[in-house]
Amino acid sequence: MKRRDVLKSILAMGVGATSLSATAGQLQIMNALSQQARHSDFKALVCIFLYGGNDSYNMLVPTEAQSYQQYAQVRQNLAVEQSTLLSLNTTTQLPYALGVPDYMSPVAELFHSNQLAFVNNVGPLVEPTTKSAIQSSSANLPPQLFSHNDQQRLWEQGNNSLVGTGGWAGRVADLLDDVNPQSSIPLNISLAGNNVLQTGNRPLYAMTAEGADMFGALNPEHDWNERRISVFDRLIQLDNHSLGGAYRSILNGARSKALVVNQGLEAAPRLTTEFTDDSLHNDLAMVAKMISIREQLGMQRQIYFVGYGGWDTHDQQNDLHPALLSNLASAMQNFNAAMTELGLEQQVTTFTASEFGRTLTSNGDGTDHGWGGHQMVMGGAVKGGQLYGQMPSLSLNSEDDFGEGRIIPTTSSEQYAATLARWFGLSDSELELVFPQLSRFDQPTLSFI
Amino acid sequence: MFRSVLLTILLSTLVACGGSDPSTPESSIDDRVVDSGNNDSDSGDDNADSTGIPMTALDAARLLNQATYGATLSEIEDITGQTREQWIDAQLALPASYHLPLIEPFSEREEFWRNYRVAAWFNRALYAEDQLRQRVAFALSEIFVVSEFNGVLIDSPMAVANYYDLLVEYAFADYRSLLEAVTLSPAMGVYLSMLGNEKTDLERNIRPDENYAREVMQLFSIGLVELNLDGSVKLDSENQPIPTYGQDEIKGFAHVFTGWHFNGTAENTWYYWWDNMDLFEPMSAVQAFHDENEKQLFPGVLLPAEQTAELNLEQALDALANHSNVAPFISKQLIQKLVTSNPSPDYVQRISQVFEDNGSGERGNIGDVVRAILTDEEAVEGQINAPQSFGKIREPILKATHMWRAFEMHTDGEIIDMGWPEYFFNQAPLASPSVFNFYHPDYSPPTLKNETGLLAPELQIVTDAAVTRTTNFLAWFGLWRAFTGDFSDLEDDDRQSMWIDVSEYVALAESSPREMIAALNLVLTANTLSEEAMLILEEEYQAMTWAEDKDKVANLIFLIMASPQYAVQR
Repeated sequence: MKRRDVLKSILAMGVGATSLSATAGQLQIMNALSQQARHSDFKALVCIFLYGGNDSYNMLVPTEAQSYQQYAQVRQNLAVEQSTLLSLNTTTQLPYALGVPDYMSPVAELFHSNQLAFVNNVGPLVEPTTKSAIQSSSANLPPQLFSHNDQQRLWEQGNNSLVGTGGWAGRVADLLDDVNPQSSIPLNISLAGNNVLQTGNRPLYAMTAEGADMFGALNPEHDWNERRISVFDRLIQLDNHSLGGAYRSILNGARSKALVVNQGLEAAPRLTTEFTDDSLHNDLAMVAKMISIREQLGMQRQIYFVGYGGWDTHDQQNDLHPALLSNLASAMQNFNAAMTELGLEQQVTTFTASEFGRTLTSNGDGTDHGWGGHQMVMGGAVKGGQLYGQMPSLSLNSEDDFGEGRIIPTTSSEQYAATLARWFGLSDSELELVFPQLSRFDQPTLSFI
Repeated sequence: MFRSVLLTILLSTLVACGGSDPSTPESSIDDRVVDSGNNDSDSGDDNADSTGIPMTALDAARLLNQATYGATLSEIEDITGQTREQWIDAQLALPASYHLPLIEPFSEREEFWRNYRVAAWFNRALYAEDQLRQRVAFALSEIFVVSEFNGVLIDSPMAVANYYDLLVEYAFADYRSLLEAVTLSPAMGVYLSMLGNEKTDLERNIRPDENYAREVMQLFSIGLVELNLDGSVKLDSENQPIPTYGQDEIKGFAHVFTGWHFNGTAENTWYYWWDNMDLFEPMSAVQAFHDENEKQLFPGVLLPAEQTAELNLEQALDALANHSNVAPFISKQLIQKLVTSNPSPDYVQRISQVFEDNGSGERGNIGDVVRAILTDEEAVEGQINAPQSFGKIREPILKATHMWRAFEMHTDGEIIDMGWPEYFFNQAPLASPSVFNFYHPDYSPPTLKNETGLLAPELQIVTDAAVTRTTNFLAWFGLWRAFTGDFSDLEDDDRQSMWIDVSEYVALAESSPREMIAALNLVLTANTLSEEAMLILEEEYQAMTWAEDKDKVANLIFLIMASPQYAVQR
């Protein structure tokens, strides 16, 4: 990408508009961009997005008598049974001791082997806020709180505004565009189709757990397709409709990438780590496979997006939620094992995201849309065995409660993302560009990695 | 069989488009000249009324692509000479074709699953007479979303089909009735958990479920922010959008939607839902579980205490249906689903006005809204006035229905066996990953958005993987599954799959390959292919001397249907 395009792209994403002083930073980046081989190592980020809103107050649960009772009183029939909790042994100072349900035992193991950390009560914020500020209407709050797609967008955009189309990983990719100079595959790879997180100037690559299909009738590896392909290539140039042009560029992008990815995957080493046959496991198995062919793909930086749906537990929560958490935990454990097998445990960091936590209160057999929630970060680079950020009070009408147990976040999703992006290789000035509101928080990045 | 009429149509079409590239300025003028020649109107005349003008074959092809599951030569023939209104009115008057009756015969089978429901959908899409109703129902199914991906519905394809039939039934009804039918549908009740929603119970520390309250507002009626009649976002004095509701309104509506359960449920059977389970009849109310306190909905809409569940529901749905956002919110989405992704504000406003009052004082008459959408000057002439932006990306699954309609699909299979359309198309009827549908109405790929500001919602599901598989569908079920003559000549096993019959086009090509290509151009793209593109295809056809005619025709069908020219319905 040319320097001018970088500037243009940054402005186009609406990031440059936040302050004039960003210009100096932008110039610096453009200088950095003109140098070759920015990184000599390999790093990958893997986002597991829990679509629907994970009720993470049933993922981290108080274990001790008084605090458990408080929790159980609020959660009523949705409370996880105390006897089934696995205590988290940690040196982190907490207001009350915590555990995870026994169906998340793989997560407890990862935590205790320092491979996994929790980040508490994260959610979209424009700036730090308090209940009294909200009550007096003086708080500057993100728009459309508690709505699925809007809060997903806020999480993924990382700039807490519903204006603009890009996401933070997309902006990271725009800044690091020449980090994979040898590769025709975009830095952003999705196993869950188009998403805001990875939207930048360069399209993301959207594949499936089965890999990349070849175009049967347009596959240049077969000479019987040869003349059809040449006719097709002439034909499709003859349309100047804007939407047609957008379709053509998706089509042609898919055609060229399918070849590269397929060839790479055919030569992929066989991993001994086994994954169960379900959509999340299959997706993570494919991510592992793609990471294993990073050199064939010529890539030193990758960001993966995996979607896992079903978390909108308005009803039947007691049936649905344990199964989801259990499957998530085992899939994460398998993926971690696969990275260890590849010798990449220090270089690959996996993190969860979810649009919101859920109400502490019950609607009878489920919970409704909340705000802040807990997340997990996994990998050898993570300072595991710890919990970061503040644990909220779990009593109703506390200073943390927006109402009905919708918990006001104390860590911004932007801080969470910026911490990951910094580990990924962004400089401080680049972080400011990608996360324009970061300076509003005393601690722009956290120490979990 | 109808070759003589066909030839006349094709010849007139060839002349009509001057055989030139419609996207060049000259040809736009050509088209306009021809158009005004045909319909005696001047495109510069604001009072130009596109209705009441007999359609040319090209007009007919365009209408059929906007309003059905895909144009066919015979239907183009049939309706050429009618006016748009005549065809639409005839369609509005047709009885509804339902999906459930097609599935019922299989329901006792051991292996009874969604395959049969999807097959019924394809069956209606390909063969139903009431194409417009079916097409509008499909659009509604992507607005009033219920998905089989739900713990209860996944096991009941019949219940899901029954919900689809509700959309078929109400496709031309008034919006308020549709909203009530949707709200009380047990499938929706199960999907968005209004079914079994209870009033506040302090002892158990529970409060009403907010799921339906939130989504009925955000997605089925008014949307998140206040809109002008032309679909644009209203701004406050600080240039900020104005939210249509907040958490307080959600709570108010959540309390309204309490006390409803499977039809026939009583107070003492409320918790024994498996005994009452009825996924077909509308939900009924149990007053004991309904919240009887006063409910504040929108400013100025206060539902007094002690009302029945039924009355509260009536009044709450009235408040939603009468909200000034409904007309632009629903009208614009219907325009986007049928005609163009980027309607002008004036177009949206004209349709919103019909939504608000159809001329007989009726509000929300969807049939009249659909008629207005399809007869609007922008639907009729958009491709001439805005050749580079008018139109929409075809929904991927509609490529399949179009191909199978245009080239009469044959199968000896018991059903149209397309169990998992999402493998090829990233979408399947009533199988969205969430209530937010497969794609958002405001999606646009970043490059397109940055360069043109245009929306292309359907491109959200056209990913690298999906575009590959959709293209492969066209190869596997088109390019390599074409036959001519007698279907029974095919091998027994082969006949279980779906094949396209290209006899009609092979016959055309025998006298003139060029005519055959013109016919493909008309039926598939409404003459979007330029003269140069047609020549390329003709050259390709002539060059394949070693191939059978049917394969040569199928090759061109594939090349056209896989192209960006075809991807945009315009």
